[in-house]
Amino acid sequence: MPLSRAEALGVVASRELKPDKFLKFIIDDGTGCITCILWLNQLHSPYFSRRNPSDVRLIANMATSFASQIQLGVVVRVRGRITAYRGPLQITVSDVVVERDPNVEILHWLECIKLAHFPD
Amino acid sequence: MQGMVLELDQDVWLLLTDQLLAPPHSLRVGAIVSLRNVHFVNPKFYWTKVLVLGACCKTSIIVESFSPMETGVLLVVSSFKKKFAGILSEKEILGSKHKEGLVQTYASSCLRSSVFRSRHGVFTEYCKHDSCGCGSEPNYGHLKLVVPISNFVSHCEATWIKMLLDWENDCDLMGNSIQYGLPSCEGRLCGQSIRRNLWSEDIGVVLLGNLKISPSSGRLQLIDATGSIDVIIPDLLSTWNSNSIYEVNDFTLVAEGKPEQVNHFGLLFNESFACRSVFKCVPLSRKINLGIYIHFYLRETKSRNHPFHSRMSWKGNFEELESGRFHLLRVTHKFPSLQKGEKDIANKSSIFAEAIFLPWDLFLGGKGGDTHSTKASADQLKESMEHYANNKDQEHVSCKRRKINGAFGLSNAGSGSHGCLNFCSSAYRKSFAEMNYSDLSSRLEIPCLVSSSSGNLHCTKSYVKVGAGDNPSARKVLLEFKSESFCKYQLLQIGGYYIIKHHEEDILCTLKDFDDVSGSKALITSRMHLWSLSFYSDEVLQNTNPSCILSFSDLFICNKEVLYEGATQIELPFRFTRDCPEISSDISLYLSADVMSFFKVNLKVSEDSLVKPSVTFEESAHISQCSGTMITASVQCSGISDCLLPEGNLISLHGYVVAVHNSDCSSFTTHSSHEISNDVLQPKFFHGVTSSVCVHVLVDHRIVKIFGALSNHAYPVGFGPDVNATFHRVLVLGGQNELLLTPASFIVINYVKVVNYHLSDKCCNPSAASGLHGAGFRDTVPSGLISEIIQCLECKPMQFHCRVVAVYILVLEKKSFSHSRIHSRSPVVNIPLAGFVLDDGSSSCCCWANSERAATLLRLHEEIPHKYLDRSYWSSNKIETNRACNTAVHQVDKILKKHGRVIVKNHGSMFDSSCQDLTFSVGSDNVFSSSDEDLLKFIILNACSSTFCTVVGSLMDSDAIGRLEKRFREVEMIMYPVQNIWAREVYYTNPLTEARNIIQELSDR
Repeated sequence: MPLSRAEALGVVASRELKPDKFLKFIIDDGTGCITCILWLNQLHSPYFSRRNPSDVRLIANMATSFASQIQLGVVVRVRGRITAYRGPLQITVSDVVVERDPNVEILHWLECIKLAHFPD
Repeated sequence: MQGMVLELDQDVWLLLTDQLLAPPHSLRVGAIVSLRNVHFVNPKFYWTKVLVLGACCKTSIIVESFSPMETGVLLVVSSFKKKFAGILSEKEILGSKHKEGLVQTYASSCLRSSVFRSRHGVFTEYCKHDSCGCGSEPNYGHLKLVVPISNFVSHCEATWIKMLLDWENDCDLMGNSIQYGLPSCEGRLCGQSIRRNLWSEDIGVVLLGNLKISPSSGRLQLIDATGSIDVIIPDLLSTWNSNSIYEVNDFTLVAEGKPEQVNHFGLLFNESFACRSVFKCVPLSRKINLGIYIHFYLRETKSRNHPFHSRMSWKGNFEELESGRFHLLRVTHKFPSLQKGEKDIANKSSIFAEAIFLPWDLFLGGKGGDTHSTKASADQLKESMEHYANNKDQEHVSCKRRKINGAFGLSNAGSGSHGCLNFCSSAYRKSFAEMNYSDLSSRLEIPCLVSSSSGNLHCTKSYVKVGAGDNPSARKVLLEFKSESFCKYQLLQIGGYYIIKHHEEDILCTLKDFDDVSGSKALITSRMHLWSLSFYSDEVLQNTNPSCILSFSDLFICNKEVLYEGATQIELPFRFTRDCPEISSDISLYLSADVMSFFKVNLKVSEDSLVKPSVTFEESAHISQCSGTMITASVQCSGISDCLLPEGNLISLHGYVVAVHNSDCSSFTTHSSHEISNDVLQPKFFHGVTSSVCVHVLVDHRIVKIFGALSNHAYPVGFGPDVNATFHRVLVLGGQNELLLTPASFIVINYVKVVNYHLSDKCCNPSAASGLHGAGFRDTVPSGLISEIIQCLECKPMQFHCRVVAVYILVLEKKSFSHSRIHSRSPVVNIPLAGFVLDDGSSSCCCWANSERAATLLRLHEEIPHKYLDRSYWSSNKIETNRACNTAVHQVDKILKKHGRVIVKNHGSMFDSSCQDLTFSVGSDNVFSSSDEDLLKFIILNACSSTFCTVVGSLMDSDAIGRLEKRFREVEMIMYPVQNIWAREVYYTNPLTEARNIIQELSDR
């Protein structure tokens, strides 16, 4: 089954902000690193032009809020679509949760193991 | 205290309590008042929401002092005036210059003395404004309302209806219908009554009143001038005095009624506890006929229920107990009152109880004996018993005064009433060691220890004398109670032992012409006292640990079952069966173990010869063999062959009531198996209000049906499904497992099972919501993945960790004005329909939840950042600057105040939170503003971009899906072909616990 969406949890290892365009950051979950892209251009993007303006405004606000929370060293849970940019895979982030309890990392690993055990 | 409280708005009151300065004349009903420099007092009264405007001396209305407490005291004054009008004089209620009134006594009992301060002149008060109380109002949130009973009853009715409506809303998706799983019956099913209970902490009121037996129903009630309510007191004191005013703080309210009553009634706007209703003098009428009773303890040490005020001194005649001779009797049966209807006031009628007088008399030594009253321990008893054994030739054995030791003591600190265990000794010529049964059965004195629950028993010599009376054998006596001594009848328990003081012209002694079959009749006058008695072997003393003595709290939760809705069931005992001295009876007799066993045998023999009090159902199956032990029914009518009167034996049956069905008469006649003609039964036995019932009782894993057509009075308070009851003297019918209630049958309720709902609203309580709820489920429900539950064909519950991906549909409603605001001061949003798309990585599903769980999934308790709040509102309301008002639930509540109802539908993606296309429709004509829309969208989006939660859910069956489809049609929405799950519990995952569980799970594989 082709995968389209993913959730990852790890420590923010790098952060590159292009204001009003995107925030590119890398998270490290102990097994490896993945690049995540959080778009911040909703208000200007033609991709959102057909959507309800209030929805777009809200999504843009939330994205800005997520971007401010993503700081180096924090543990974040990101969810989004699996995309690729010039080859390597990345996650196009739809939402971010900053986790404050360090146990969530272990729980996430265990959840992954549990899901891997599950026969499709 | 005098003063004036002005209702400015429904919830806004102006408080004028000053006597130094008269309020302006312009302050009249209908006037529009503008107040400058008033103080906002948010009194946080538990029972109602009210804003008090306190006017102080800096105010343009010149009033100096104010406080929520003063409002409270004024409420108490008004409430007391209403409650005790006609019972006490106004002077007794309000007090005079020299004598404290009831109000003052009560107020000073619950307020600190510092709040009562003397007044100074205006100038002094002005100068000391900030220091003398105006500036520093302490929090009086703990204060409770003393409520007139009629207000209380109407509040209970409203609450019951509200709970029922909530429950229906909650359950109709899952179809946990009222009659679900109940056995059917040949009789017509009238709707099952529904029982709901509330705890005093959730109601937030105090009840004050007299305890009296209702002359019309013969039931024990708490009464004030405004009304009455039935009460159940498992540990009713024998010192109970109908003139005392009892203060009941801790109680459980049980309301029971038929749901169809709600339909006639509609939605109720409940204002019973609003300040207006308390001040208003119009009595509230009962609107529906609900069975309402309260259950509380009087002897529990932790309890704050106690006699509060008594007009005359009352010692329960315990002084009579100090010495003398007492007859020993055992109550074998109580006959229900044979009243012919409501109007037949019990003045003329009598109530009867059957008892056997045992051939034993109890002698209590007087004060002037050669021994001392002292507290005793187990060791002491043992020692003294040994002492008797070793001193065969002793003429007198005296006992030294001993101090009670620290480790063990029957006197319980704090209780006050459970005082000393009096150690008694006397002269005995024979030692126990030499006694054998034949000795004992002759006229012997058996030494014993006696203790009384009142603690004022000062006997020094006590012994039980065998055959002390003129009659050497046990006798059956019918005790007659006239209406003035109904309270004594009320205290009697079938199977209980009692003592009654011997008098020379005692009817009990003078009665000689009794016969074994019918016995003789003895009138119990109001001057005669019956004290309950328990026998204990001295081993009890040795084995008793202090915790047994008075810890009622562990009695409450006997059987914690997890129910369908995550509520637990607990048992409310109606009477005590536990062998705990000092509680269960007025007098406790401690005998040495060998005497005790002799006693037991002897008592049993004497009882068996007269009456068999209880027969198990197994025994009744062999009725033909052992009919000698039963009471032959006296309703035989063998002469007339047409008269199909029931014939058979009477037994006692103990079991769990599963269902009570109302049957019409025709269904009885169809019972041809035992051929009871209802026409015969009805006119001969049952006068007054009767209803034919069929009671399904679970006895030893078998369902037994008990038919009856008793008058409504014959059923004890609280009788209904889910009670454990003993049915005394029910007639065995020829049919299989079928019994008949006769007019002599007596039903005793042992305990009632009530559901312990989580009344505190989790969505308003972050600590509860984010806490570790669902502990009951965590251990019992297996965890799994959504893809597993979907494949599972059965509807077994499973717990899974998932996130909310999208909202499917939400119906948000303003919770009607009801008890919920009394339970928590926070606003509560009702969510009658809520569907969420959940994903745990393995698969996704649609999850349906009730209001409370939907609120958890929506994270309604979380704070909303300022930028999403309605700015116009924010700036204009400076009062509400506390953080609680920033929570989502408060904001949603505000929206619902405007619109009543909001329906949110998602027409967009069900799998990507950012691609949801939410549409909103409202129940009002008001325009749904964009700021409100943004706020709701934010709440939903926030819920969809949050961390994991744990859901205990089960697959919805076809019936539930059918109901869901119906709801979808109502809101004009189409159903997507997704798997639907009903959330039984939702809580936020604790990562550490969860990680541990998964490790365990993975390593178990």
